[in-house]
Amino acid sequence: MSAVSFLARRYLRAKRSFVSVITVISILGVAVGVLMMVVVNAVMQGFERDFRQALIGYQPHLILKPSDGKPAEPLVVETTLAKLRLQPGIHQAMGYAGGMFFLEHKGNQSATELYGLPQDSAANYMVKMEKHRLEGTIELSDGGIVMGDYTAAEIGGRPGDRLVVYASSNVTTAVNRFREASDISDDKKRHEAYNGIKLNPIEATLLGYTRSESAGHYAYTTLGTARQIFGIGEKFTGIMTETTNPNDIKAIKKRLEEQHIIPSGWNAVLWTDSGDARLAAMSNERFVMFFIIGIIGLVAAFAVMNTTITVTTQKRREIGVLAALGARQAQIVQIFVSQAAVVGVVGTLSGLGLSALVLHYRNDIRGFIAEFSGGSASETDLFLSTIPAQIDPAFIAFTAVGSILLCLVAALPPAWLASRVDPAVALRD
Amino acid sequence: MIDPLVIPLSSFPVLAPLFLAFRYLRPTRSFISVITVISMLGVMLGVGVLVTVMSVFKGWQIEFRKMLLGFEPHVVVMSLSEGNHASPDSAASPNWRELREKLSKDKKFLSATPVAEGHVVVEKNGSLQGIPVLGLSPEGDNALARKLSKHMKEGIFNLKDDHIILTDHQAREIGAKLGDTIVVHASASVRQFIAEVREIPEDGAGELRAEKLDNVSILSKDLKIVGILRGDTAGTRGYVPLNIAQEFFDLDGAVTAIELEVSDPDQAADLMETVYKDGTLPSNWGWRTWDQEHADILQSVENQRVMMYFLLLFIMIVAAICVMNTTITVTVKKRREIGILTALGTRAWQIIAIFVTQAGFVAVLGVIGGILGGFAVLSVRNTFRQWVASTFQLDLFPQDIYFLSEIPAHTDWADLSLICSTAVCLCLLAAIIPSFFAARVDPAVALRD
Repeated sequence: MSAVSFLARRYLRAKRSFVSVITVISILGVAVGVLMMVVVNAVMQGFERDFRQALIGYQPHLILKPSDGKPAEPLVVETTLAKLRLQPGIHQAMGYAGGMFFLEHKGNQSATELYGLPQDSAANYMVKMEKHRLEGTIELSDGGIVMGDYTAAEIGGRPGDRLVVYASSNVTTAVNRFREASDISDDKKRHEAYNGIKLNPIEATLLGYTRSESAGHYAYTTLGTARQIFGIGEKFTGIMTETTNPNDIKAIKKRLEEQHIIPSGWNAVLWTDSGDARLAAMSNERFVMFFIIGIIGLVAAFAVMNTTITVTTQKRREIGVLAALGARQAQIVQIFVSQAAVVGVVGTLSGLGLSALVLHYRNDIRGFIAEFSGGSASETDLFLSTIPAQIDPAFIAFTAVGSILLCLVAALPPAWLASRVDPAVALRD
Repeated sequence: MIDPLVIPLSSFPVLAPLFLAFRYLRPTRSFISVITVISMLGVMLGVGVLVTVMSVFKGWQIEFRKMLLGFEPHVVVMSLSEGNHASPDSAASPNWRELREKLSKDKKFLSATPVAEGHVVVEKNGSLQGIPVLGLSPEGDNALARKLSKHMKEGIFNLKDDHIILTDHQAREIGAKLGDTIVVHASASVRQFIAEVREIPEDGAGELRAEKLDNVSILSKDLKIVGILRGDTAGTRGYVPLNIAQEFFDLDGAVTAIELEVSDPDQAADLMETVYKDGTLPSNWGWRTWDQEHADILQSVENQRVMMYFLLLFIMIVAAICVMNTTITVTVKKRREIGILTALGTRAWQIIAIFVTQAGFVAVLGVIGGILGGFAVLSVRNTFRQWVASTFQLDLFPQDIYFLSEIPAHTDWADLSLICSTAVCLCLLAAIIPSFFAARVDPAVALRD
């Protein structure tokens, strides 16, 4: 055992007076700093991840469609699809037909957005809806519609019920034509104009429904049925693309633009579009919190520095003896810095252990606090039913290394000052 | 100056600990003053961060409430009978005009305005969609209209004839701009129209179908956009003249609510409670204040503030740990002196008082430094934010989320005193424990060592 580590250990030993008490207390400070850093970051990241996953969970990852809203020609769609499928990171790409449509059941009306998917790819796509399924089936078949429970409740429909559906644009056209036609005073001409007013309703079956809260308000049907509803013949509304890593969607979009795979006059809608601002704000908040919580670590380092100052003062005579015996300055610095390193390592490890415990029992702790503070039901409603948490190993490693480094840096100035002592002066005092 | 140690300490029961506390702090007295300064810095940082963060949160909360008050009616009162419609003919409720008259004469209210709230249907991306609107009377004594006219982006707030005022967000969505005339449908009549058209078989004989359509009608109007509101600060509603709203919502001359403005909106709920009790407001009329309307979001802002306070308290706890370390060191260093004092008849509480006073001194100086530091940071907050934005390409306070272009701050005296007293209490508590042990020392043992 080297002299340095021997002395560092010896000075830390429990029976060696009050120094061990203040050492333990500084360990506590470091542990609290690490605990807060890890727990706060894990919870904030958890919220961010949940929000992302909720969006990824029901939003189509990438939609390409003509910007003017006109139906897309089958030829353009086919060539684009062929190019898309060769791209890396693309899990699935298909032409779809969709838009706003009206549903009607027993006199109740509702409107929502419909996606009509080609039958061969539908099963593969609808997999991501399976965990949101509440009742009935989500297996798409011609003339069948899957929707959110919110929409189903609005029209009072249950799986198996027959519905009447028509495109929202048909209603718009009908209303506009009717307004024009009703101004015509000539009966014959007016009646002729009236004859053009059609909603083109078709019959459909409610197949099943999903939880709108987590799966959004979208309705799904087959490509054929959607084409019939929107009256676009053999054309498409656009292309729907699923990626293997949805978090890379921006990079994928950029690549598609660079390689001119997106046809001119088309635009791209990303799953992040509906939550971009919120996501950016969340990571900003996490960044600011990191700084604020970092101050706990800084104050904990102050405690470590205080301990080192006390220890070096206490050991002034011993340092003098060591210096007189020929110990180099670096060795003396090392003694006290390695002592601080022990404080840093033990504090960090216990902080990590504590945070694992807190994160594991986070929901029980929340329940306890709510009960303790007489938490009203409304207060618990505002939060999610469970607190999310995501542990990021890279961040943990960063926190641990940062916390230990901070302790070492805090111990360095007093250790260095102590090592400069003149042995003659130290021994004489 | 009289040396207090010459005079029996018991004759200065309070002053002696004070004297000794400051004597032990004197800078020439070795390394102890260094660790005292460091623990002071810890307290300072804790208080500084708390002051800064709590002020920003408070400022945000205040700005947020201000923003809501800027467009939201302070109180709406509505008849509880027959759904939400004030019905003039129901026996128990007076005519809404009478009630309005009565309320507007009441000195407690700045104004009482009839409103009609609901949805109208417009064409958006080729599809008919509902947008929320509020029907507002064009009369001059309309406090809500005056309030809203401060948020005009373009045009003027002039609700008469066939005018409509939309928020910039609504206008962008339907692709309309100032001066455009848009077709607005009554949503009930669109539903009715669809239902009636659906009843007539589409493949039926042409003539018969057309005749049936003669009896169908749809209520719609061409309204001119005379103003665009700034959506960031004016909410999400559009505004139409009251008579159009009444017609569209099929109110038959009634209104959905009477909107009241009060001088102190924070006390709106209490005020309404008294008005309800003294009978000014008939028992079959209910009310809803602006903060009840937005209770969820206001509560969540408050929750975040409390959570931040709780998190930042840990900085103070660690700072107190630092103070405790210092007190331990001081008491150990002064062991002999404590022995002498005890031998001279000093009581235990006086010895505890010496060290607790010392910690109190550290705490007070730390708190003062922290408050000064906190204010200094607050004064450069927006400059700092710009610097971060330009150096790291990172906007710490995006306007589209927090609706404000600058970081707000408001230092609340209650918050400040809470922070300061917490800091001082934690430091004193941290010092009491080691000094309690120090005071229990046996003078014989302490002096022998």
